[in-house]
Amino acid sequence: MSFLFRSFAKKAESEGGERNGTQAVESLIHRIESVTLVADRRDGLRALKDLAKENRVIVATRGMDILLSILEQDRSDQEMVAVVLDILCIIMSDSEVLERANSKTAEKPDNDSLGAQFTEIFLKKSDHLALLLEFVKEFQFQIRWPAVRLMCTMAYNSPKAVQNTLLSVGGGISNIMDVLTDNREIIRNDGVLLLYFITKNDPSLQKIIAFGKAFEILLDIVRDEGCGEGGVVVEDCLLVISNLLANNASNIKLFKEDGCIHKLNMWFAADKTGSSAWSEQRKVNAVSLLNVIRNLVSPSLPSPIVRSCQEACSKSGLVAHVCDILMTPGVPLNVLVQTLNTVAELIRGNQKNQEDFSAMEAPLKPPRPALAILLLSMFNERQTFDLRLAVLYVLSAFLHKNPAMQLKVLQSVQPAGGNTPEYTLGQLLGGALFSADSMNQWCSAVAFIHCLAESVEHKKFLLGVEIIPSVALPASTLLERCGVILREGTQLQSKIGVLQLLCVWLTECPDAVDAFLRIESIMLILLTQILDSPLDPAQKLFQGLCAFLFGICIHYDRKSESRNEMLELLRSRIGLEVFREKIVEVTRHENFVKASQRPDPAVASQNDIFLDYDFIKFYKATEGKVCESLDQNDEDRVPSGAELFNQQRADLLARDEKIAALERDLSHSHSRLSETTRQIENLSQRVSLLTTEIQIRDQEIETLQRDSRQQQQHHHRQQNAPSAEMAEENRQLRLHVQHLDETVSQLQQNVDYFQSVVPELEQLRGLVSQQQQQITSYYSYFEGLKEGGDSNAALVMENADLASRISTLDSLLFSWQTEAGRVKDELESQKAEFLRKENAAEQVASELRRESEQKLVEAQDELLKLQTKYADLNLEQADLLELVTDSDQQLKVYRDRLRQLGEVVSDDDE
Amino acid sequence: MSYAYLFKYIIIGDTGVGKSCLLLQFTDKRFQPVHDLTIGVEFGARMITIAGKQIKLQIWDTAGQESFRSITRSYYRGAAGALLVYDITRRDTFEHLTNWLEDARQHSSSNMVIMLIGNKCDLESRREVKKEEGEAFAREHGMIFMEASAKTAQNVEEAFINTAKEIYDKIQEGVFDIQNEANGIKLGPEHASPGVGGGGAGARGPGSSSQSGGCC
Repeated sequence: MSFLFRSFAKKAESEGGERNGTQAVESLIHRIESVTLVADRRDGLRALKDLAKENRVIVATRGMDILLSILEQDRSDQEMVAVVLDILCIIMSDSEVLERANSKTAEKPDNDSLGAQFTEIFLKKSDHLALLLEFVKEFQFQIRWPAVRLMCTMAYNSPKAVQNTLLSVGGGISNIMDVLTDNREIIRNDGVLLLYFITKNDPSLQKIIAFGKAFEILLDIVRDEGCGEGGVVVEDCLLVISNLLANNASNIKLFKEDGCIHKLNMWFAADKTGSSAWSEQRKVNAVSLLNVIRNLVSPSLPSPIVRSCQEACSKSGLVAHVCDILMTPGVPLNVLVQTLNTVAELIRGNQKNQEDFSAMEAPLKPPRPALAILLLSMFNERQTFDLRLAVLYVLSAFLHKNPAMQLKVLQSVQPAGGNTPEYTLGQLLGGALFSADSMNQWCSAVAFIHCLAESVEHKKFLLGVEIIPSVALPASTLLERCGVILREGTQLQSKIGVLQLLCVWLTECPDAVDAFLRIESIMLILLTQILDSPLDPAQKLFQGLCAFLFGICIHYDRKSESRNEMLELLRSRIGLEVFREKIVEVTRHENFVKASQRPDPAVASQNDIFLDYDFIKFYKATEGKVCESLDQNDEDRVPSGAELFNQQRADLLARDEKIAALERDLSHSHSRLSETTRQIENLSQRVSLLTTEIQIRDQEIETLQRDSRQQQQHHHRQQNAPSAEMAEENRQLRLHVQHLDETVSQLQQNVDYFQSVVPELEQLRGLVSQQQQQITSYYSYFEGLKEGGDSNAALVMENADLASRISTLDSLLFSWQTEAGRVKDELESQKAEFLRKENAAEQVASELRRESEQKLVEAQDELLKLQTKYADLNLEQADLLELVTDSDQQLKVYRDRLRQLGEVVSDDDE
Repeated sequence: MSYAYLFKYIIIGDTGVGKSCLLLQFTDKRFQPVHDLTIGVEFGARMITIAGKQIKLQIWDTAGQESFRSITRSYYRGAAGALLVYDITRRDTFEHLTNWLEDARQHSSSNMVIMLIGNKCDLESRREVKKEEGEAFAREHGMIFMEASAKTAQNVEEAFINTAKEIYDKIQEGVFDIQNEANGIKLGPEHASPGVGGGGAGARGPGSSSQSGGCC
């Protein structure tokens, strides 16, 4: 049987033709399905394998099921499994995929490719992948290798599907990691390649694989393979490491924690740069290593991570090693460019690294600062444009967030007198503006932008800086030179470079605007450009930037006459709407979109170099402001989408302000209300105080009455006193009553005041509700606007933002309103309370008055009575006195008579 | 920085029990009342000292949600220690411990030290799981137990360090094969010979503490 089988297969093969091939495959598959002997099945599979390459589609469509079921059922039969895996490898491969060169660089295969389709079929059941992972674990060469290759092919065909299945199977990753330590290089290398495919753009798998000590294992392979001198596997390992680190903060932390940054130094210990020729592979390896470093300090990462990695790189000596490459002779261009980009990102915004870099010297006689040498190559037309851009990237990173260094460069533009000094950074930059090469002028202008970033002082300082380009030419200020380039320049690139510089320079610096407007006919030149209607996209970009600069002049000009003049010019010659459209259009330019994607230079040709990354950020931030300043002066125009938005934004801001003012009013009246409430409380307290006082007075009157009764009884001894005391008491009572009267009138005043406040509050409340309605209407308006399908995402977001703000304001307002209502109610009740209190007080006061008057009358009656009694008593007393005198006389007479009678009479008896 | 050993930990448990907060408290000594949901896995590291030896802890904080369960499973193998966390104010998180434990035992190396932590013990008033229950569960399954609070930092330090001590003791006893890094243990660069020195602490001379510079 098996013999027959073999001969049949041979026959099929020899006949060749496609139809025959199809037939042969079909009958082979039929046999494989039906045979019972294991040996026959094995032979059938082998025959199928031979046919698989030429009859890929038919083998896959007809045979996939049986192949997969053999894998499941006969998994213990190693020979059979090996053949099946081989066949699967063949049918999954669209081409010689695993020929490395194109597999890594080639664009992602289209999802409709046959390989991708077959991969999907295979992955339909996740069990299949779990099974395959078991075979990956198998140590047998003829199983492990095809298993790894099959996975690799599938991961290349449809990476996302394989990644998702791997994650859902779970736990199989360690099997793949074990492959990396297989001592059979071919398996290990395919394992590395497999890792490359499955780690791309999948943070979860990246983390799991990093957890499995991938960094350590891969770096060990790199070391064992001889680092830079090693083969393609070194490159593969570095590519995997780059994948693991790309935008994965967790893995970057682990890489740093595991001391891997330090380990990268081994590269420079092993790699005797310059000692041997630069093979293609060595170049690629070096670029890949630098790419790993760039992934640690990429400007797109969160800044704390970048900072900690920059520090770690500096501490471990890696920064110095990378910088050394720059000064090594014979380094190939692409490596040099990548090195420059790496250095830039290593020093960007890190003061220590920036300082270290500025101290670096080129190995020349005499030694000169490395940065100056680099600038010389940037301004050398013979250098390639990507190298020159990379130097500019280094320079911008060097100046990033380092105002001291920026100022130092600016100060060095003007030669410091004396004999011809060595070229400084500033002089090189300034001189390049006079170069004939457009890229030199562009680079110089952009470099100056980075010196001016966010510092008005620097902008003012640069105004006074003069350049003496050569002995033959007269000195001119930098600003004048920019004007000359704009007016007389012929190359668009340099003019766009200068325009960018001017836009940044004039922003927020009215002094610079003044100086710029003084340049002869400069505004006319701009206006001419804006009036033009170019077709070429680059020309359009140039025009848009001219418009932008014009707008900046209007926005930051402090003299209103010239500002209005410019506005009038625009309105009459161009129309503000068209003008604004030209500014907005810049952001849609292809070059603008491309350059905004990443900070490092990535243009394909010198002719594409127009816009700087930082300038784009500046443009996005400033454009709105500039357009807004036009809005303020523009009444009658048909609004376009963006304008409408700007206008509405301004409107809304105004509303916000109004709402804030009302809010202040409300809180003010609220505080007043609480003040009055407090006053009412005070008054009611005073009323109660008075009531108690009245009670006290009552008591006093009572005691007074008691006293006067006593006085009646003891009038002999106190004839004069009672009346005086009475009078005093009376006076006091009168005073008291007067005081009470005063209090009452004061209370009355207070009540009047409250009554006057109430309508005010009412009015305020009306205002608030009116405002609320207004806000609701704005809100609904904006809702409508949003639904209006504006494609501008920023607009929609801003709208949403504003809507949410309105809704918070709404709720705030509502709460104030209820608060105001509550406070009013409170006031009302307070008022009623007060009235009640007042009545009570009045009642008490009148009662008191009546009582005291009554008492007074009584007291006066009594006094009268007492007085008559007093008069009676006086009379009585006079009588008595008379009587006493009479008796005295009689006594005297009797005494004298007794003396005469001879009796001794002492005077004492008297 | 040089170290004698490196231990890999994972933190597991239901979503919202405070795994990420425990890690943050341990590595950064701060508490963040509102923490984003962990997506997949996050990494943190800290150095501690046990018996005079510097030990580096690398900790992987996993997502508690069911949808990340298969990702979490990939981290069991290769971890020397696991902190299994539940929330004492949520009974269900305690009841799910059995599932977690099964998962952990199934996918990890048999020697993995598991510490059970009842988190949020500062919220005594809302307690739903008694301390005794936690203790009993831990005893039954051979785990160390502790109640802790990522908010007040109570027992957080102890939880990580006690786990490390247990691992360290196991190394001293020779239970762990420290040559096999699949255990989640790694010898530090300063260990010239991998012998398990049972002797006095800090036996390493200062000379050997310097980093071994060139790797090649």
